Amino acid sequence: MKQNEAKPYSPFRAFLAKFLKQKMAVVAFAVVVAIMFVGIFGSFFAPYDPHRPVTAQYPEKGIDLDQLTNTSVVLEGVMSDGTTVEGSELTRVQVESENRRIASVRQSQRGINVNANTSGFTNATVEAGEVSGVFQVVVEGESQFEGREAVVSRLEPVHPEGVLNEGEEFQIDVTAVLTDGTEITDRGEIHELALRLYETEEEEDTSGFNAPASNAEAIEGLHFQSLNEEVAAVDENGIVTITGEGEGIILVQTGPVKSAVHVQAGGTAEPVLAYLTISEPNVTLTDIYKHQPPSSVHLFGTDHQNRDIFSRVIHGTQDTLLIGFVSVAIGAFLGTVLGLLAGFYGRWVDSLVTRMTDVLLAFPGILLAIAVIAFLGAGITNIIMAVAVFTVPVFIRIVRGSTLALKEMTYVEASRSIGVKDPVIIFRHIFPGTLSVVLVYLTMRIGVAILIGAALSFLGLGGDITAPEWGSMLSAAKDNSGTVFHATFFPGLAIVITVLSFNIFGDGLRDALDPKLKE
Amino acid sequence: MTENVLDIQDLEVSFKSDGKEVKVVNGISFSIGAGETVGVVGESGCGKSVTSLSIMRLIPSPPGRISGGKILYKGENLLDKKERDMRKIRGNDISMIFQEPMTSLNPVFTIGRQIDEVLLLHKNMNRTQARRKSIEMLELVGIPRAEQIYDSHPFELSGGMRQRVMIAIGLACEPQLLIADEPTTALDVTIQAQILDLMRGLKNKTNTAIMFITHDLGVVAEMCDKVVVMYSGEIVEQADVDTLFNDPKHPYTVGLLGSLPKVEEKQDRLFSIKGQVPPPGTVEKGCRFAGRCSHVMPRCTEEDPPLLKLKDGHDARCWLYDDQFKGKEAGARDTAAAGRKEP
Amino acid sequence: MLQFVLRRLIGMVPILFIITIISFLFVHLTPGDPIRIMYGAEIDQETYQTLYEREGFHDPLPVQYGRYMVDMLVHGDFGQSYRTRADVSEEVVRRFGYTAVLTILSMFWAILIGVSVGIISATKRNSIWDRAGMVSTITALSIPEFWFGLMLMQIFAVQLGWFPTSGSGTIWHLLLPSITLGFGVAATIVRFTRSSVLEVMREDYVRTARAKGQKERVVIWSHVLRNALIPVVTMAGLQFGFLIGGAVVVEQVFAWPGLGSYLIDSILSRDYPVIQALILLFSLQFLIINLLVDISYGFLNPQIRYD
Repeated sequence: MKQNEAKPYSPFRAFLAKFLKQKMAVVAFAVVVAIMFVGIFGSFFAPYDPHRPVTAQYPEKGIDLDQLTNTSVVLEGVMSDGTTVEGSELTRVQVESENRRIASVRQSQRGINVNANTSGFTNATVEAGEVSGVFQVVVEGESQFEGREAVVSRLEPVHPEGVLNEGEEFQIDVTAVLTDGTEITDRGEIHELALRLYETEEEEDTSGFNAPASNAEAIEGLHFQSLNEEVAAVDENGIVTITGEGEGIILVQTGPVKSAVHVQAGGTAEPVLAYLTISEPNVTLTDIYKHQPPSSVHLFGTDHQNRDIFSRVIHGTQDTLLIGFVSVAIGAFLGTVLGLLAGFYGRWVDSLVTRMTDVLLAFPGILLAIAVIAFLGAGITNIIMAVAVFTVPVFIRIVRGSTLALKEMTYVEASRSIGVKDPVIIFRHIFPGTLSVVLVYLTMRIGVAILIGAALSFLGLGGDITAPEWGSMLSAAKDNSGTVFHATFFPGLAIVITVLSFNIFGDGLRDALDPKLKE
Repeated sequence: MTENVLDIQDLEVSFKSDGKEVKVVNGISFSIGAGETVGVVGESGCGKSVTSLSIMRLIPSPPGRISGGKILYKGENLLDKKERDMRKIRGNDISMIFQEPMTSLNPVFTIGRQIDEVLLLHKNMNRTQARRKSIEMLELVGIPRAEQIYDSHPFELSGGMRQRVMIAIGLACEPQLLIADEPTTALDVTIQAQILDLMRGLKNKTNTAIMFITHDLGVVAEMCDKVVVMYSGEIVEQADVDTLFNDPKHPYTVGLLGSLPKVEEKQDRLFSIKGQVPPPGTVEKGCRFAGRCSHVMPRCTEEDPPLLKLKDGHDARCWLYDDQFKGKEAGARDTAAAGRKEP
Repeated sequence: MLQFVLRRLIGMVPILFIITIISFLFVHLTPGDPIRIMYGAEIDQETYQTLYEREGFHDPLPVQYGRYMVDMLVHGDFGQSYRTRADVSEEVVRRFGYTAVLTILSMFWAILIGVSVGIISATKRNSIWDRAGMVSTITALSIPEFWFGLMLMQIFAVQLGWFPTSGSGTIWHLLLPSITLGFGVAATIVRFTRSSVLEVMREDYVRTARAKGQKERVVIWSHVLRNALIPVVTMAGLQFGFLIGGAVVVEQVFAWPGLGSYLIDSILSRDYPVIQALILLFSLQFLIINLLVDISYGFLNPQIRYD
């Protein structure tokens, strides 16, 4: 008994206890608060200006443009005796990019410098005298890299041991290392791969465009060629026959990749350069002028005008919440007033309001909103009005319902009987009773309002399509970034998280305040 | 002793709520002989309906669970049967009619189809035979224009008519046992009388054993051979109908009958039983009726009374009769005497 | 029955009347001079007068309205598009087919997914499936259709290349838009079906069916579903209207040449005759759908009689 006196029943505490039981709703509430915080203060901590390309902002941020677009790879030569030579000691070095529009390459002190120009991929050839290797450059951005596959980067031949005698025969074994790191040792397989990879070579040669720097003669598959026929002859299967004394070199080639096999038939000789290794046969760089993929610098990447999507999403929170809150507030206010009047006065007021509500509710919200925009014209204010229009009947209906019930309450009849004026009864005695329902619907409708608002601006009815508003961002992404995943993904995800949080929070509020409301 | 159609032994049924398992039926045992009508009486919430649903193995599970005991139908334990074998028993050997005739028939199917259903399931009939038998059943339960009603939907029938249809469904397969769960509660008084007449007549005709669940002792007096009185998941008294009405022992039965206990003098207090049935699981020790009993003794709140055999076929669960019939320790007599002084 | 339909049709007349007035007044109510919007702001005064005469703006409004109604009802003439000069009624008829196919297929998905998931959720209540179902429905209801469409397009058309990204022509073009449009309604149907089935499973007649010794499968599929699906059908029918609303957005995403994209294009270019015709058409659609839903309800529930 005493416990009861110590803690008087508090409806608020009861509500709080019920609400806190629903863990999902509590989490959703926290997210809602966070989103509102972002909505209010977002412009202060957005890392970039949402209206300008990020490349224009790099200097202010102290980010070195070169670092992002440049990288270098280390070049080494491997001699026939297995020793390695540093790239700077190699002679007759030539580097060439297949497609300079995507990336350009040049020799540098320690190896090769790669510079990204636009998104896509290309192969680059490195030649040092007779031997050559290939590496691939991928510049990430909007391109889809369709048809991209690993090509042969280097061929590692096995050199015959010691001195060979005339008439002796041996087979050249080769390991092909691809740009993605795969190693192929089977000669037949290498041959097949080379046939497939370089089959259009001839045509490209005649067009004189995009062709690898070396070799005008047609090379098919895995090719062997002796440079010193008097010492060694080689057939198409890589079987070498020693024909005389001296030293010879057999070239092994697939497409632009060439290696040398040193054949020693009597006498002693210096080892020769056998093949080239490139430290990074698959170089990945970023196209920083458009559609940068998500990275530590740009969490959500950049859009078609190279604006930081993360900053835009943060800035857009404000507009999106504004559409949600203001439209629902207007709709709830008008709906509550009309609902109270219709419920309280009944008769023709009621039938007029109810009829109007029924007609409005028969139409899907989005079409109603579109119709309002059709009247008022495009623009963000008009979106708010449009969303408000279809929110009104929802509130009329629920407020009217609870007003009808409250009107019959004894305390209302009592105040009537002592001559309290109608406005006072409505405001002091009936309105507070409808408040919990109104509150629940307010929360639940904000989610819907945000969805419809975003849909309207997605349809281009928001006026300014360049504004950092989530719906418009998606609209712009659809038109300009059709193939880029991140440009459409993140703004939409923001909508989903926001709406989902409001919905779950609203559900929890409803269960805690008035479980009867559950459909 | 004649062979029993149904023999319930120490049946326990538990329900889970808020993570706790609560026993709503606590070790009840009784039996129904062939052709016998047994009334099960008690206030709502005392476990009568749960008992009847347990016999059919239709306890919604979860949250319900039959946690102990045996239900022997013709000597076979129904609780051991596979669901498939149980289905062959339901509606065929044991059938059931429910309290709410208004909602117990499926609103979208015709009356005929709903009677046919049970025949087609159990009686190996084709549709024409089923139809003939169904119409026969409708006539048997006193429905005029049976052919026409056969094609009607439930909403076209009154409550009494629907209960007749339920009875027709229940008896269609000529079951050994019919469980009637408050079949007349939802009906008007005049209709009640008609339905009871009908059931009595049919019982005489078919010799079906009936388990008649009700809270109305008047109905019991009219219908039953034997009565089981339940309180808060336990049997508090059982006897044949004459004994129970002439010589009720348990204070609860006495209260139900609204008459005087023969053992005590303070009569006027017993006309209505004060208080309510304690929710299952709230009484931890002692007699469950102690809180409402006008004869409560200190012992009642300490020890759970067993079902005491007063004489052949008459049991009661009350400490009042402990010393009298068993003549055990003297201390108990003192406490009983002290208890009697108290009110 | 016939009487009921007739009465409902007659009841539609005043609403239709109001809608035709709204649609007629559309040109007059929107801000700006209709002639200048129709023919451009830079026309000189003389041309302006001739056009004003020719369009009949000098007549009093009721006369203009009468002419509008006669053109529409007698001649089936909804005017010409300002933008393309094409006959509006022809264009509407052509595009109507596209929208109809899209919405019907979407409804098919929505019912297929919605009802089956709803039944599974209800019969396996509180299981993992049920919970997963409930979480995905509330999520689905929070996903904007257009974004879902864009994501499907990204994954299945752009990345995997299984479907064409947009446009029309083959059945493959239809698949992504219809799934996009159907999934939101599917979520609504799941929730509704689940609660409806759960409610019916608590009914006494379900217990009766079990007490007859009926198999659980038959109890669910025959006794429960037959009853539980009656409100679901009604609800699904009403959702049809909302599918048409959603179609406006989804058609825009997938460049589907239906009425929705026609409407948006016309609003953006202020093509009034088209907007007028579409307002009428959409309103009429909703009224007819609501009527059909009411009628179908009677077929399913023997208890409803049309009086």
